[in-house]
Amino acid sequence: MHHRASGRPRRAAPLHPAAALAHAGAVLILGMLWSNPAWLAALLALTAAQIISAEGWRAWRRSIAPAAALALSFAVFNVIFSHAGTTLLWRGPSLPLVGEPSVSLEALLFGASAGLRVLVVVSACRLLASLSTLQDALDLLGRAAPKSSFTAALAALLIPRMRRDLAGIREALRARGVRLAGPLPGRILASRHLFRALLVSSLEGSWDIAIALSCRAFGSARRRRPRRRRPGTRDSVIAGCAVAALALALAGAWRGMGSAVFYPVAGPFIRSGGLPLLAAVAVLLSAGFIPARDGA
Amino acid sequence: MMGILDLERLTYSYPDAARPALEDVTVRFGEGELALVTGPSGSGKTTLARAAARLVPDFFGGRFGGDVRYRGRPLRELDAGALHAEIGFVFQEPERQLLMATAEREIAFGPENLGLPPAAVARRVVEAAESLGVTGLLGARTDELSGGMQQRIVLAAAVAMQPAVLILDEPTSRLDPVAARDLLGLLARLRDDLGCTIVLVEERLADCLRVADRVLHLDGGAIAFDGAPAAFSRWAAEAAPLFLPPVARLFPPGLEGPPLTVREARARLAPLLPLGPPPAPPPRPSGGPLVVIEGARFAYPGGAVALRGIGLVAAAGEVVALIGPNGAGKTTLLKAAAGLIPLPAGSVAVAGGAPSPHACGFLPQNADTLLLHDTVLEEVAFTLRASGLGREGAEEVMRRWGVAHLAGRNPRELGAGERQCVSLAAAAAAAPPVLLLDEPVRGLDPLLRERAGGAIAAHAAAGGCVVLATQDIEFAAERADRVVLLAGGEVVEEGRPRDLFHGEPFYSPQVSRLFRGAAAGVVTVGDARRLLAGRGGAG
Repeated sequence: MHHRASGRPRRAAPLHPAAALAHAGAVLILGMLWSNPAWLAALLALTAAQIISAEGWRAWRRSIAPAAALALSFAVFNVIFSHAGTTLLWRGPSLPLVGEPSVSLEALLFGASAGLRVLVVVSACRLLASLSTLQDALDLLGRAAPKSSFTAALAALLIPRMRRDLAGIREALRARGVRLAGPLPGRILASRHLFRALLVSSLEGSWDIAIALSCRAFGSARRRRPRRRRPGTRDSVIAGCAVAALALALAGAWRGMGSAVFYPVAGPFIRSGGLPLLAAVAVLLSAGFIPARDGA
Repeated sequence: MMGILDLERLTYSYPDAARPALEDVTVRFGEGELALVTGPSGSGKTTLARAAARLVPDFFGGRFGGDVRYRGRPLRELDAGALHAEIGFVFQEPERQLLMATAEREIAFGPENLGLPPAAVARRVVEAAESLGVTGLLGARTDELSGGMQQRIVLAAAVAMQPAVLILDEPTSRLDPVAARDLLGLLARLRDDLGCTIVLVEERLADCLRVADRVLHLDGGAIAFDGAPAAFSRWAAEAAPLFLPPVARLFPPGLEGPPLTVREARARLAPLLPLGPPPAPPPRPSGGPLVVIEGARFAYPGGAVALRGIGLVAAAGEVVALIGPNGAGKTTLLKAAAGLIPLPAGSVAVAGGAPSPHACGFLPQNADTLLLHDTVLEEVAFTLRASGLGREGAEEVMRRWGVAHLAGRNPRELGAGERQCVSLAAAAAAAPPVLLLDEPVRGLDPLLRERAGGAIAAHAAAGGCVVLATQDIEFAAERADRVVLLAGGEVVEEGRPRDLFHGEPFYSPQVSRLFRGAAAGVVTVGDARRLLAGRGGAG
């Protein structure tokens, strides 16, 4: 048995790829544009809610876990090594080489902002995968470069397959008593077996793909582009609102909203008109995602 | 007379092969027939299928002689588009031929390549999906479907191209018995409704003979038999009895030949009723427990729960077969027993301790992942060395598992059946007390299956224990001391084959279905022969 769920395939992409690209792209740009930790936290919460509603809590947790470690390390390193802040929260004893370690409120907030930005960027990518398939997105780009988009789609399909093959080979090696952990020389020897097997299985897999392509007459006639689903009302609303949210946020950023000053003294984080702007952006990015009540 | 697909004096050798895979083969496939191609591993079945779709020599090189014609035209004169529009080919592993992210796009891909307008493509997708019963899966991601569903999607993708000839290489090998019978029913419908010629390469014949119009038996690259299923049963009764389904091996051929289906066998059995008391059950192995699993729970990272508090005990001298539908949790349970996945809840003990390569040998479902070396001998010796044993025992291991004659061959260049045997030998080489085997007889012809079954029984008889997962119900009935039926990550039922299979219409061997309502505890050909002995029935 494979670990794939047999009876309950994941819900297919509900959005037109253009709408998904517009929405996830807006989140990504906002994540890069804003530095105010409160604004970034709000954006992260909104994105998480959308991923969870599309794919469930586990999917969100799985996608965010590696990024969370990175985000935390950003924050911790900044707190330890940045001494530019003036509001000291803690000062340690004098140590050789590093002197007196200190933790300032400014360094803490800057670290939080950098960590949140990482989480928003990762969430935006996951959001795109939740709202559309990579294949749909590549199809959208395929008008300009059909061969490249098809190659990219095939490669995207092969990566998870290779990952599964690698996991299977690791299991088979472990079951035969090969130690994949432990001292370096042993690990190098084991890795040699691992990568050789992976190489052979990948070559066999690509051979099968070539045969399957031939059996489906690939390359025999000018391939007709698949009939693309027209964007629906919801797609248009989501794409339109994403563009509007981005325009609004850019206009706000022109007046310094969404950005924050951290050093030498942090703040102010709330500016006049900032909260209404944030609320408006949040409402625009939520449009199309809140299901209507039956009969409403 | 011209067939739809004619193979004329076809001789083919793979590059560097010592002998031809096909030798002077002449076959004529008629319009709208379902031809079943069978024979021992390495007999040339897959090569014949590949040649009929021009995959040899196009993809494999080698020396090719003779001719293959489609409606009288040599295949080599057809351009690729015309060829694949007319001749569809589906090979064994569905996952390896999926090309698109969603089922709908997968089915549409072939018609799109034929240059059909979008409306025609859409119509073909709808029709193919409907005919294969996958309309509800059109939006699903192909990599998240079960093997059975992937097989249907791949078949729908081939059907959407509306080929006149559809060639399938062991399409049921990864399916559970119910899904396999469904698939064969679908193929019969394609033949009946669309007039499609179907060339079906298969090892498990019990259900295939029911739908076939014709049987081709290959041996050593040549055609040993070509005729109707009834004639095949008469021929095979003498020449290749193991290839006959279990019910056919029960009755003497007579004038009408052995019965091929349970229904036909029931008519032969009727005059012999009522039957005497069932044969005494074989004694149960009474060794101490070697595998003890308690309350095992496991969920994969994607969230799919695979084990829901399963418990299993397997004793020394015992062969335990895990059966159940695709996705039941069989593989996960074996991996848990081998210590390859961490259990969040529950415990596993093998030979009195934690699972380790010294305590258990493990054959993964994808047995090819075991193959790392350039020769069969090195492959077996590698397991011995990794277990701290000398490579001197490698010859004995290869002899035990019937692969000694392949010692110098590259495992990756062998046929599927022989490769599986090499993987079995490599997994069991260190002779640990416990063998955990995932689909050990998949892809084995009846002769190799018998040999592997013998080696498994010998391991148990020597005081070891074997826990195996299989979709081959006949094998479980013949070789297991105990059968455990799993579904949804739970044990549904367990017991001796004679108890568990008795009276069940679906997850049961042919003999059990034959004696349903007539005699209890009869599940194998041996049981039935003992019961019918002296009543003039058993062959």
